[in-house]
Amino acid sequence: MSTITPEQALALAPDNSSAQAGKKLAVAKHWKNLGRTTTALWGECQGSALYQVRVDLNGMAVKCSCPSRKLPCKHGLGLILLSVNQSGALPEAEPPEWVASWLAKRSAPKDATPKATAVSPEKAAAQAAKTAAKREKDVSDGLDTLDLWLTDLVRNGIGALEGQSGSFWEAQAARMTDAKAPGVATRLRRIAGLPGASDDWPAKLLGELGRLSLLIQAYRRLDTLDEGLRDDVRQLIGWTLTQEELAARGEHVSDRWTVLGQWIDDQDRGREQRTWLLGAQSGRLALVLQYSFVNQPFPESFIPGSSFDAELHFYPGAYPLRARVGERSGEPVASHERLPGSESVEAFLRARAEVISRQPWLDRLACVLRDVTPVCVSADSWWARDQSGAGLPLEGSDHWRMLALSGGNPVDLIGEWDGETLLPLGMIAEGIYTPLWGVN
Amino acid sequence: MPKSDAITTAALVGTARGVGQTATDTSVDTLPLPGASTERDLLLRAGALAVYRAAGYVPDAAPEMTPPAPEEMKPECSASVAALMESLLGARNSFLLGEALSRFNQLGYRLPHLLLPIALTQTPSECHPAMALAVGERGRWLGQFNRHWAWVGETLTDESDVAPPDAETIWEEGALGQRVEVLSRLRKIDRTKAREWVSAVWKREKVDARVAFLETFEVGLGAEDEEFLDIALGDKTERVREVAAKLLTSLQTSTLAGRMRSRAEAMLTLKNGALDAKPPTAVDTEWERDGLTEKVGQGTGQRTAWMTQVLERVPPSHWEAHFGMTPEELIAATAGSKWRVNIVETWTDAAGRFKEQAWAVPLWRFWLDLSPKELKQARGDRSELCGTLAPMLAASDLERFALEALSDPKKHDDFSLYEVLDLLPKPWSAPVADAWIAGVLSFIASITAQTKLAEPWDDTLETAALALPETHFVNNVEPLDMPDSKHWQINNFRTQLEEWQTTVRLRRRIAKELPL
Repeated sequence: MSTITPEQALALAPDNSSAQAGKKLAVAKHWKNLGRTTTALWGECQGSALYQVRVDLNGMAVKCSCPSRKLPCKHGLGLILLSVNQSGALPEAEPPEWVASWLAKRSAPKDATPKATAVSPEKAAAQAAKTAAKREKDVSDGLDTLDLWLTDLVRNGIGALEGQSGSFWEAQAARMTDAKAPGVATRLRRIAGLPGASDDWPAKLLGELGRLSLLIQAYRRLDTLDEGLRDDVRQLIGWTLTQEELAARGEHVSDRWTVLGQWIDDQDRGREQRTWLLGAQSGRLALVLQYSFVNQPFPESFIPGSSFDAELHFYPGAYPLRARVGERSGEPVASHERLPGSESVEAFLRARAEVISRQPWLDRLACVLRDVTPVCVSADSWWARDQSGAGLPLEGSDHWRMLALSGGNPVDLIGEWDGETLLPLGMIAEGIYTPLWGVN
Repeated sequence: MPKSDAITTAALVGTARGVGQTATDTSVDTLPLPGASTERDLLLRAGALAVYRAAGYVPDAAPEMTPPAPEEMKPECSASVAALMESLLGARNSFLLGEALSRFNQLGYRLPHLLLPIALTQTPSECHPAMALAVGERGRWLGQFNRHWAWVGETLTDESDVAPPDAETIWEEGALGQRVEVLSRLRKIDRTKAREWVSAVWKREKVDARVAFLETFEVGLGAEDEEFLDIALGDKTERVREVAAKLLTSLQTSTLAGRMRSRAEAMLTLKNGALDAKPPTAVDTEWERDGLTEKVGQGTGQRTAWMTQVLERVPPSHWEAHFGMTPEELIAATAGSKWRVNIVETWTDAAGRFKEQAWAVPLWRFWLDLSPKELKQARGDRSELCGTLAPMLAASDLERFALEALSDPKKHDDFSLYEVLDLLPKPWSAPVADAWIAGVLSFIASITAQTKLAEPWDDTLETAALALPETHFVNNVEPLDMPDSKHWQINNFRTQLEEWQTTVRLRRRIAKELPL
């Protein structure tokens, strides 16, 4: 505990007001029955009621009996800060029952991670298999309830969903998180935004619910699928690959990778960064996802428009797209050659249809559209128009930089197509790459 | 309910209501379904249809684009100049931006295309004409797409004063800003034609245009404009009548100006070398038509207001001829009158209105020497009154007053040193800059732990930062020399000094990056 500083403790705060409130509570007079072991802290904080606060120092997990939905809440932050600032306030003690039982529950599923305590390899493997089997069961049960829920929606009519509050979807998403299917939870949260959002929302909503049903069906018939698609389905539901598994199972591609563009999305409690790469020799497209919480910087940095030599590890799938950078060799260099890309919108859409035929849940795909003219119809209606006159509507309204650089002339545009709008990520005019937005 | 296909309709109302039709009329219908439940079959078919549609997406025909921007005529500025301009745009200091833009345009540069959206969005309106030049062809082309950028197309971009060859086309088809600019330029070279242009369109133009066109008559206003101004004086809109009355008032040959002089002459009397005033007790309807519309109620207040309105519309030089006295003698002659301050204040406003330089120095002296108690009778305060006169003062007079103020910086509470310095044209002359630097340095040297106040020097820093000439971009005013203080104003002064240095550094960078 002595290694953590007050600043680091405050960095755990979900927002600034929690940090401030936590600081105020980091005074011994607010607390009763304080105590600690080498791995845990606890105390009772007098708020509008007496709250029981416990902290597992393994992973800094906090549990508090207060009704706040913030994590950690101000009481948890206060307790951590108090232990940092004034360690004498928390005497070494035997944890009371309400702490001990929580700690026991927390450590129970952790057995899969190898501990220093001697567990034989056979026993560890057996335990791992047991954990894996339990997860399969949890997911399978979870998807069964989701299937029933979806069936109910369609039986009662999805027209009624326009009036549903966010909690209606959130409750179901939370159930999927509990069932260890976080990918499905994320999908449900995205679907929650559809009802009422556009004129054709019923068709869009039904399409998304249908794709979710297809995913449940695919999971049930996992054994009959090709190996690649099987990996896709499991990743879409929420199984992840550790770095070691990825290095062992994923395809390795060494190439000079050009950073096509980047976009950052705010998510529940952090940010997701999508970086699209294109291999010079292989012509392979790759998507690198990074996550950041509490405004931490992303672990790896990519400079849009630059190139670097590296070995990429692709996540296994029917059309491997997501990748992780294995090993870089050398510094990023500015790239001056014209990027290969689609000569027309039609050509890009044809290529995308090919990808969908292999991986039907594909959400977004990056493209390099050569010689397209940015068109400003009005401040909130923008298009990218190719030489044949066909076009894709652009996402958002702030495309002034793109317009200023193009001056009404054709440029090479890099974007991300989600099936409805094209999100511009970068452009090349007069041989110079300019990132368009989403870069910080 | 929005238009939808059969399968969506079925899902919208719900299978419980028995709409069983879920065919999609696509090859999706041929896919085998598990058949265990109607609902799941519908969902799976809808999912397959979504995938089918995503794969078969057909692009729309995109709208046509307007013709591309014309080729640039000017070279792009260097990257370091671009960085400087970007930081000036971000700093939102229109003076510094104006200073830099003036140099930028003299050097014949244009901004890089990437910077244009920021330049078009963040340029304060005072700098629009200069920025309209700096953005080049691409910037003016961009102006058509964003209504907040429309100003860039409404500014004439040749730097000369002469009417452009396509003046008549611009007058007939241009935006209001351009038409006014063309008209102003034409007034300088051919007033008759300019007046004919306005006269020809007068009846069909909107109020804003009529006001703006009429205001251009100020350029080279002459007797031959009177007939048209009389028509405008009968306009149905008050704003138009006001401008017309103002112009006719300043046109001394007009009958309106004659009426004004007669009214004024009835109000000022000279007896035994003493001037006095006799405010009117009643007015006729013609007053209002002549633009004398101010109402302040009843009694003495209204009588004074009537007098004030008339006197400030008569050029002070009229009284020199009328009474055969110099400005100094006339001001001195008011000494015994209880209307003294009112009379001199109307002369001050009139001197400003008619730009009478001979009156500026004596009036300035009068206001500077007036006691604070007497000054309470005036409507304006000391700095406002002197401010009215400042534009008429010769640079040498203004500089003399500024140097006097610098030598006795605490003389007037109600006309502080910074207010005098603010009136000086920028950049300052070397003597003023020297005196200011010496003054502020000696103040800094005098600061001790006991010093509580930084007046009046603290208020001069902001002006000085913008007004010091290039030759006086000194480094030697270092706040580091100041002792620590527990007094708020002294600590604040330290911060202001740091800001001063930042600004001077920025100006030094402007001079270095954009050398003339």
